[in-house]
Amino acid sequence: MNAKLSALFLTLALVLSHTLCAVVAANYVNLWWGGQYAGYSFPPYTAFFLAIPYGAGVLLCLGLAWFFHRR
Amino acid sequence: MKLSEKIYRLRKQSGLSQEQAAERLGVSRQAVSKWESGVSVPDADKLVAISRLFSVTTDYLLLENTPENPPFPETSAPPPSPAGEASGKWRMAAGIALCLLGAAGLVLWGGIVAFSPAAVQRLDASSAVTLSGSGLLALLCTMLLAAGAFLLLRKRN
Repeated sequence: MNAKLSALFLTLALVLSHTLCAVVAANYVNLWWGGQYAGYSFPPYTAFFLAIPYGAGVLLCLGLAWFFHRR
Repeated sequence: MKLSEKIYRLRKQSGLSQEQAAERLGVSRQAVSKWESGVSVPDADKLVAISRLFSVTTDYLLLENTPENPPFPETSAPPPSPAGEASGKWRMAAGIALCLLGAAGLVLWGGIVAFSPAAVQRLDASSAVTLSGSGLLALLCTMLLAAGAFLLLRKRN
């Protein structure tokens, strides 16, 4: 049971980290394009703020995977 | 009484199945089965774990001329009650469900941000609060994940 839970949370961490990359990249490109051609006021680097909730989620899932792996 | 019989009796008295006892002791169900049938003998560290699980002394487990009723060490915790066992299972299930819900929400939100930025803009425009509505969604999902982790990591009573 613990091994399965550990694998589940490790998979969740992997999925969330991939989503993090995709979301930040897509938003960065969107903001860059908007700044160049549509007059967006936000600089593209603000896209990195989107990494915060995903980073927290990845850390939580990794922590849970480690916890269940150790038990 | 032999060690194998004692382990069997103690497990039955605690109301645990071989699988449950094995999970708590960190061994396979087959190992517990072998201990109970006398095919093998638990290692020293597992004997200590068994004594803690069933709240008996290692002397009781190892010495053959001990009384029928096992002595309960004063420092050990009482055996888990069925109600506590059930609430632990519920907490575990709720924790896993919250974690899955939070992670699924984050992935879904990520999909919307990446593939449909216009939907995010509409959501932000309709938000009644100063913070962006889509940002609050991400925060909510992260909080769900954190609540699930809290439930899973909280020490059992």
